[in-house]
Amino acid sequence: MSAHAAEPINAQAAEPARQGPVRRILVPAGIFLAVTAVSLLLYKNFWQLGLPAIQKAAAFVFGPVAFLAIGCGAVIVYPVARMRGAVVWEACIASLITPLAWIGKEVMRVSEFFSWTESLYYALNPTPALVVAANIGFMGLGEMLFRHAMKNRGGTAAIITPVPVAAVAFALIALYVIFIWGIGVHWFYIYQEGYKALFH
Amino acid sequence: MTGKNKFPRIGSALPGRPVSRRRALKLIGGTLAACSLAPGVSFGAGRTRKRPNVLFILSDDHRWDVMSNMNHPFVQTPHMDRLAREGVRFNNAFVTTSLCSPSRASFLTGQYAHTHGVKNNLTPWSEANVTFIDHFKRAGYDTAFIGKWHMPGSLPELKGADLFVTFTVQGGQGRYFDCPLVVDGREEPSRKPYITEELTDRALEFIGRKRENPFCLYLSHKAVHHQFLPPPDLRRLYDGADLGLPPEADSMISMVDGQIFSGMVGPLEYHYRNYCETVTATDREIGRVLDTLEAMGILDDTVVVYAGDNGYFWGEHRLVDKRWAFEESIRVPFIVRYPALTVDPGTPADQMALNVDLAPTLLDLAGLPVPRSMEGCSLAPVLKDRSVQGRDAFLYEYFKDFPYNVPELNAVRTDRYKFVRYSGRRKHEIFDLARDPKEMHNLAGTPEGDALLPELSALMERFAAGSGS
Repeated sequence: MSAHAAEPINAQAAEPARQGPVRRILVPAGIFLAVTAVSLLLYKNFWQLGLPAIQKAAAFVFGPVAFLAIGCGAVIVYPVARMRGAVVWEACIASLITPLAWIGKEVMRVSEFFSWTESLYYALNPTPALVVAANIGFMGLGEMLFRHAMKNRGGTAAIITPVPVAAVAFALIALYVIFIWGIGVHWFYIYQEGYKALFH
Repeated sequence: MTGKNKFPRIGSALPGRPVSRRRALKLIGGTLAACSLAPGVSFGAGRTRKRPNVLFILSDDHRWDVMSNMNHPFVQTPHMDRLAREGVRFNNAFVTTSLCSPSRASFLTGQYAHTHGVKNNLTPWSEANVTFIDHFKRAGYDTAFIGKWHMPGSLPELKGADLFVTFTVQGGQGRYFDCPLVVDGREEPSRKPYITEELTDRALEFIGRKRENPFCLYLSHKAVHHQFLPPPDLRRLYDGADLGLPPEADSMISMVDGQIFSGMVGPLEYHYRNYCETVTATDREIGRVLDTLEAMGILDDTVVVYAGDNGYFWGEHRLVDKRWAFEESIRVPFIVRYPALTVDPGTPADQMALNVDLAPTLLDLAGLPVPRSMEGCSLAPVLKDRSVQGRDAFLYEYFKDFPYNVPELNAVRTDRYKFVRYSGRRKHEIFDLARDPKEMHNLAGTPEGDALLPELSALMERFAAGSGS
């Protein structure tokens, strides 16, 4: 969070100064969105350059960067937005822009061969569900990181409170139910049963 | 490539001969005629010889080239190699739907998915379907189905099978270790920890029963399906191997673009290594069966067929899993060993073989009539004469299987070209398999593709309306 040190601080309230909506919401969200888009583009297409010597290495860089930006971006976007004066709901929106954009891209992609209603249901499949849940957890973690930073600057608000802890707990429970329980098989079958109930 | 007389040839591997519409229709007619020979026409010798035992061994997701007899760079499959050396390996064997449940139903019934009705992993098996096991039972055989059933719906009665051993856990996929079984409707624990060994034990028990009748055994392994778990003694067998994955692949492709539904979390290399070790484990169990048959003195009186239910991508086209119409997905191992009727054992066959051919082939080799309801062809003539006319083309079909990211599609594969027509917004594809065996250059929209399109479309329509090959 070294960038935050340069941010103007409202010393009286130990709260960051509220910057304009572009700087406090769109810039942190947009940077991650751009990183995601570029990483995905390079990850998927680098092999077509015909450079086998570095293709694997490139994939090893761009793939995880995209993965982390989509699945874990909130842990950075959220506190950065807060440090720029975003209130909680604004920081939440900023945090969810990248994962929701990626989910929207996935819906568009599968709409090539699924109906629109099926494609919308696709957005609830275990992977997007886990992405959203993970980012909710990282928002909780981000809020606590933000409070910790504020405390270092003289703030008095408690770092650990029920709401951010609940967000982290929600993500961990979702991780277990969606991904770990039966190695993901049980939740997947539940999802498929939902599909059958809705579309068959 | 614009005039009729400059059309590339659709149905033959011979280079340079153009094909006209008339020629194409003749090829189609020849294809249908070739198949129409099979029903009711016995290759033969079964009626005058002692009736053979029948053993069909099916594995899951075993692609055609992961065998040492296919010159795989490191995988060792000595017992599959033995089958190929002492029998006939079909170099051009395909499934008509590259998905477990439909393909299994096609092996059992000799019918396409659009006929037997198991179109994907959601549409149930109908009790009205008749399996080749039923036919063998009616002919007086002792019959057994042992292993993976895995078709949607509840377990069938499978009246034709005297013994029905299967499993229902994990949606019918079973587990590699300590998989509970269902034996003639009753739950039983696995006696051996590893599923392939357990199923082989059950098969050997059935084979070893005292009997007066010949037997027909369908041994259907869970292996080598995901999660690709080899037994403990074979783990790390290929740790030092250079895997040689395709250049377009990378370690993470099983987790992107909806491919996570294949279940592969983690590096592709890790899974591929496990897959290869699981293939070798399956091979070892095939060896146990062959050794037992040999020790009993009945190996040469037994028709042994080994096949896979569909292929598998390991990074080709940046894909994993199966379903698509690319070669990696639709090609399968298919080896027949029956020395009594095989001329030149060890000489592979280049004729196209399909999963729907299994049932008519087995019935034909046993001298039993092949019902006209079966849509495949008997491959028995090929065992005797590797130069016999085979089919020129066949229909491939894949039905939507939400949420797997593959469009519903139909394809026609000739021995030169492949035409794929998708549902939805995706454009059709045409590949020249002779010049572009990896199917990297779609000819659709090119002058050459435009010239081929009418013929291939007509062939597809013809197949879709008829038997499919």
